[in-house]
Amino acid sequence: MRAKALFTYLGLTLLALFLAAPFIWMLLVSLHPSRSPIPELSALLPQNWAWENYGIVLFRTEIPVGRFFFNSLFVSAVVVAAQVLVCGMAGFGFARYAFRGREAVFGLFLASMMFAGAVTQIPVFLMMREWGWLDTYAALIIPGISSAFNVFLLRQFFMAIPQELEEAARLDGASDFHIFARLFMPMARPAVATCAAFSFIAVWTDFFWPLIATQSQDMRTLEVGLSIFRAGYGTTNWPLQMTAAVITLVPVLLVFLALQRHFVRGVTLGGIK
Amino acid sequence: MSGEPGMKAMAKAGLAQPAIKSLAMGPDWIPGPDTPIEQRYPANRIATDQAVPYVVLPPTADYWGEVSGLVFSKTESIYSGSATAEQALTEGNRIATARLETILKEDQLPAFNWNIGGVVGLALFAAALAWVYFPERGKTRTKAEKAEGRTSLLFLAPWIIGTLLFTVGPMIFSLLMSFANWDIIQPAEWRGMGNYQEAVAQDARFWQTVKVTAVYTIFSVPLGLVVSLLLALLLNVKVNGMPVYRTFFYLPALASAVASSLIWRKVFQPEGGLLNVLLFGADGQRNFLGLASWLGTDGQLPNWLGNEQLALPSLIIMSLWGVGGGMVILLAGLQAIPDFYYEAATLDGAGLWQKFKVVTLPMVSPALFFTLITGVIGSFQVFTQGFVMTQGGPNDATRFYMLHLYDNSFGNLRMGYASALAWLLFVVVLLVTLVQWRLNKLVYYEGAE
Repeated sequence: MRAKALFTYLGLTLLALFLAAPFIWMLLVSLHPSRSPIPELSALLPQNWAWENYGIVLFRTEIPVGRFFFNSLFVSAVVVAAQVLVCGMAGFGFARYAFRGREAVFGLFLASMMFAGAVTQIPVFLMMREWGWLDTYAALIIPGISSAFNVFLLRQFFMAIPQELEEAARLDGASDFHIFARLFMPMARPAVATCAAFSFIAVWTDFFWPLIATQSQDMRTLEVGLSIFRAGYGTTNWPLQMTAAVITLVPVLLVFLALQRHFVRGVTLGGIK
Repeated sequence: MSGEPGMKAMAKAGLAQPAIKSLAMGPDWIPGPDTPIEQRYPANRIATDQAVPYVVLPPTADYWGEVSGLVFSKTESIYSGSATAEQALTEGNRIATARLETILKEDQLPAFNWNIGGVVGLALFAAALAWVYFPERGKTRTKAEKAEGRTSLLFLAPWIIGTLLFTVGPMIFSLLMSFANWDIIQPAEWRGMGNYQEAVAQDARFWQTVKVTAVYTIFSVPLGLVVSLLLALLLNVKVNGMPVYRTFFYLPALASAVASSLIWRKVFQPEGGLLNVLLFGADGQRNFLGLASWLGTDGQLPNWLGNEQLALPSLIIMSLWGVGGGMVILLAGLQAIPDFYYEAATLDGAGLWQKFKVVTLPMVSPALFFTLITGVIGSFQVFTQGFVMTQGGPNDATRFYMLHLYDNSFGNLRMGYASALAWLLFVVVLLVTLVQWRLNKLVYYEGAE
């Protein structure tokens, strides 16, 4: 029995190493001195750890990575906050009130958002252009606020909250909004955390929309900015390119690790129910 | 400095050719036999005159970029050696001429009538509204129910406004646009079914991109399903420390397409890239499993992304790295299977494979189904890998459908045509999903009959 467990661990560890290999490689290459050639596998561990690469990439190059980083962080944070509020309200509305055509509206909106993808991008781009929003934070933030997945997830959660709770609050004279903000949202904290984690990662890693909605270097998000690194440091400066990749990954990783429990839950909820 | 005296002075100094013809032909600009020798220079006085017959002005037509791009799109195959210069240029010339003929033939299209367009758009919207309300039109509602409906609207309003403004409205707009010829600079023109017809019947690249996207989907989605199921099964063993492993297995799925493209470009790099070093050794001499001869690279290290045959398979391999999302879903499905199912199967004398076939697979099929659908939808719309890693090359071998759409909309500014492409994609995704939904009957749902 013990031998079997040992083999399981060995297999799992090997596989984990295999999947993480490109990450580890990226991390180690990023710590080689700037402009050094691609290290051979045997020399992958840097002789002098070039931590200064991170400072160089963030603050000191012709490519304003620090600015990209701020843009990504700002846009993601605002979109996540707005999404949680707007989608929370919508989920609440769909879950707790009966009104004419509720199921049809829900299905129609959900389906259109699920499949629309490529269809809406050109018109939304033209709208932004017409309104003069291109290359502003508004273009990066506002079209992304209404999300189908979050409404779906929060609605599921709100529907599971017992009716008696709501009625008790109502008897105490609580208003509808009060019930939503003070009773339902706090109870839905795990679901809200899931939504927030998903939205953050989706917005942070989005590429197509920021690519077309921004033009000036100062408005680029990290993802779009990162894609110009190929040319930016010279194609051969691998350490700095890998440093930039690590900088992009770290916030996503932190959010995932902090909210991992909720994250796995969200995948499950969205996936099976 | 203008006017005759100014021009004369400039001409004498050899600075600028006079815009007045008599001056331009006169000895101030063109040296004649009487021009003193020191005024015959600078030489550009003569140069302009002599160069004029050889000046070729590039076409200024706004479709020049698009049409010449069609010729140049074929030159890549010359560099890679898969076609001779003559073949490539003849082919490029043929498609460019065909496109040019269409453009010239459609020179005088009627203007796009936005009023009619608006009416049609509103009608479509009204139809959707009617579809929503029709089934419940007969219901009478009490006063309390009506009040409830009004309150709900307060909660729903922001989300509905957002969705109408940025999803539903644009969808209708884009449907209208798909019948237009519009470069967003000139007024839009009505093209009827022309965009759709062009995509299906004339645009040679369209079918190439469909092929690339289909091959990518056919290989990456099922392979991804198998791999994520295997990983999930592995993770479902009950040992300590499982969350740590789960995190490690999920890690690649967290990497954005750009970040992983950046890493994998280096992995696939011919000289010193991780993959080639692992397969062929640091000196490139080792021949792992005889791969070098099998890949047909004749003793050279395979240039994964630069080779027409290897580029798309490379991207498929890369896609397998990010199967963590599916794995987490499947793992949740596996963990929901009650132990006594397996115990019962063991009592019946079922072996490992039997248990997998009779218990695991049916029980996990809803999760598999969901992973399949989202996988297909995602893979039809894959863009970033092709954009960042290969720019659609070599010779269009990785030109995904979305890349073609992007080139047409934001490269050539053919918004109408790109909208038609988007709608074709939309319809195909919808149809494929519906077909899969039909197959959904094969899926076992616990508690359902």
